[in-house]
Amino acid sequence: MIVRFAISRLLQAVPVLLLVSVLAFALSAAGGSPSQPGSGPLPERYARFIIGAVQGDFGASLRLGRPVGAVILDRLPATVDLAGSAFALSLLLGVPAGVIAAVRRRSLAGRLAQALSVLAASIPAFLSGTVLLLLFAERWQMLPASGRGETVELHGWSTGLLTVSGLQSLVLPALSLGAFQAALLMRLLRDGMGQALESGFIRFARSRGLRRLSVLRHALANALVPVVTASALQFGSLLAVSMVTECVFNWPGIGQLLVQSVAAADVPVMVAYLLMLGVAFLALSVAADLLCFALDPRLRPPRTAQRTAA
Amino acid sequence: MTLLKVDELQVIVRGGMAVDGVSLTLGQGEVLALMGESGAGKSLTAAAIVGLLPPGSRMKGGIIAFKGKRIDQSNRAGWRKLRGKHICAVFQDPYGALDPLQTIGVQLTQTLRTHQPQLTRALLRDRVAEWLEAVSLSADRASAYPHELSGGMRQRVALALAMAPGPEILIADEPAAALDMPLRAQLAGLMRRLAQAQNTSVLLISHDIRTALAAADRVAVMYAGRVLETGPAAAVLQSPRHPYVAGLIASMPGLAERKHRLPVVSGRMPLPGTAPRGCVFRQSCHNASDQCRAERPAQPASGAACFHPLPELADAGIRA
Repeated sequence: MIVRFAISRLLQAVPVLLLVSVLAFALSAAGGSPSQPGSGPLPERYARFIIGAVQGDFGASLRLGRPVGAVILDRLPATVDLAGSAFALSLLLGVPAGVIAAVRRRSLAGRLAQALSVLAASIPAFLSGTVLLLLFAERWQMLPASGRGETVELHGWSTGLLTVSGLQSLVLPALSLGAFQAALLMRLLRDGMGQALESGFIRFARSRGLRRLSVLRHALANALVPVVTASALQFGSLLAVSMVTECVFNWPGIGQLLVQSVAAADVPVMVAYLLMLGVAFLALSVAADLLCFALDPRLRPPRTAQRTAA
Repeated sequence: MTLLKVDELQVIVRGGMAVDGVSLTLGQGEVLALMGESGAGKSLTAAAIVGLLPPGSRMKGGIIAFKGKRIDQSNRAGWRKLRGKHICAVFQDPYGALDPLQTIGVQLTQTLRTHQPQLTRALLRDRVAEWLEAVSLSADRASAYPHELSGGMRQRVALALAMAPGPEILIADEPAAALDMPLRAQLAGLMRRLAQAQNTSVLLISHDIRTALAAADRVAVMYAGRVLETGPAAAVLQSPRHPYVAGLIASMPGLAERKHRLPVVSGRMPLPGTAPRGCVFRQSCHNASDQCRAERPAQPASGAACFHPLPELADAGIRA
């Protein structure tokens, strides 16, 4: 059943993907990238563009003179490290904080979570990044200020998650990037959880004498469904927003690459970035739908006619 | 033997006194119907008894005692020990009473296991099947999610969930309000049977006189946060003593013999915090006197809280 749902959901994504590809192609055609000579009628050029894109061929970077695919592949692992850590951090901070804020609204911990979320949500990433840099890297010299530190190659994919200096380098940028998301998640969960806790089935569960932990689990599961969708989209926007953080911390990821490419009018890189981000967003939203599908039986199609009858 | 005793209960909702001095008793195996219009304070009274007053409301005064022991000042652990096994409440909405993300089998299992942790897996499965069958659902419905069931089925599942811990008192707050008439009677009958089988006392909250009178041994009628009349169900139906209760019964088609038009209870029930001095019903009462305006009639253990009760009659009173 879930397979059928996945397939249908993927098919729904096709038109969106086509739209993104047309936009990317328009950008590419308007930019007049010389590595893909624009000869022949538009549909033919579009077809060639798509075939190239599917194979990871976006021509050569104008700025670097190397194939765009290779340039991006060089930079992608750094952004995945950063966005992934920021996302994990936002879950680790946001979910418990949201639960505490909902369950113990008036306690010190609840108020603290509340105040921190307001703070985190109202400080833009470039400012929080700069402040973190000034305090932890410049003044107290506790953590590195720039770059990824040491990285390890795994099957051609580099990661800083496995070295001490790599992890140290991640702390500040991930915190700066993840704080805003953590605050959003916290608020979303606090409201959802607060609503769930006041719902009829929680009241009924309490009246039957269920343990507090069981009651909270029921409430949390119900509050999580909308959070899953939102956080998947947030992960997508983490990838997009990371360019600010990457510039502040001199992080060699695709965000920084994009900023450099825009400055140099390096259209092929911009086109590839646009397509990649579109695909990533779509993949994430499909993943979120599948997760919701697994969480919430109401989203699944009715099982059989006889089940619902009589 | 008195299982539950509520004495002079007061509940405040956003500053207004929504329940103002309600006293009730519930005996072993007894079914007491607490009746009244919406907003009369029935549900708040019920919620206070299980310690689940909705946000924004709190108990202001009075005593709630279970088996002679005061429970209204219980802490969280105290309430938890009390709920389910001793007092269990099932609330109005059949659509909101069940967790939408869990099968009804899981919800029943969890409830049973909470109160009987010694049950093995196989025994739990059997008990779930027994409970589903007890409320006329087939055992294979255990794998159904709430949204796959009709409103009536859901309400029966809620009843099974409430009775499964084996409570000594079941508080049923308009369990059938959202259902069609025939289903309501069915559910009321089912509830009565289950309660009798387990010797459970029932506090039935209802605005529907018919259901209340059919299911209950005794009734208490609330109005504007006060109990205006209590007594055996048959006696109150036959010969209501309080003008409001008499009007209520007379306005029910088919309950009282009527001559021409159905009489109506005139005026609106005062909202919490706006009840007049003296009797809460006096503004709508034809018999109100200076005494009714000056002092509030006390609620007797049985009978009407009224300075000028209607005479006892052999047949239902008609006052047009």
